[in-house]
Amino acid sequence: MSKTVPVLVLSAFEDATWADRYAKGKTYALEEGRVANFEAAGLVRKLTADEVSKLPANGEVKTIAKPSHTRKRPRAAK
Amino acid sequence: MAIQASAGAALAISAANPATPDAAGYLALTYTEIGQIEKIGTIGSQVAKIEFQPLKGAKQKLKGSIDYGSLQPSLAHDDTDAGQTLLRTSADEATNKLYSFKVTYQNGAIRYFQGRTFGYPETVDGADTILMAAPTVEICTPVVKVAGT
Repeated sequence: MSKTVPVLVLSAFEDATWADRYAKGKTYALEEGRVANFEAAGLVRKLTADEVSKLPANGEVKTIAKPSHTRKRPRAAK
Repeated sequence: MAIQASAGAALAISAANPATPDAAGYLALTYTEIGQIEKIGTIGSQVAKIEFQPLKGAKQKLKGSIDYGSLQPSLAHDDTDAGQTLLRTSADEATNKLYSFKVTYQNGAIRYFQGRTFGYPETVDGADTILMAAPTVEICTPVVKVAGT
């Protein structure tokens, strides 16, 4: 079995080879060869080591949380 | 009888190049199928004809240079299809990078080759037609044939 690489989907797309659909913003573990094609097409990017460490251990598909710096700061108590 | 229909044939593309230009080299690559294809086109090389007509005797004909040909598939444009997106990427490629292609026939026979995509024009026809694309893939290597089952 070939090695899989965790990737983030940058744009929703379909793969006619396997009739698979990929949703924007989700992560998938895909075979290296498929990743190379999708990456060349600008559809996915490989996850950084930091992002990989936040994935569940069983490798299930998971939506990546928005970076913390984009969250609104809580209003100060009056 | 061993003829077959075109239905069921598929065209796939890979951003990678084979380590060796043979069936084993191409087989090792991973391909992404190009979806919504109506026609794949003509696959095969053409040899230029060199002619000489002597004053006496018949015209002499020799084989000249080889043109590996070009593939002109017809497909319904689909922004979300991964194979089409990679094909568009190959068309937009500013360098002379080669992409690998795989054509699979209905009986499982395969044709492998490498090529460069020279444009991906889109055709907007009448109201009752599908928005089509007519890319041109110039074949730059010999076509490697693998027999079907």
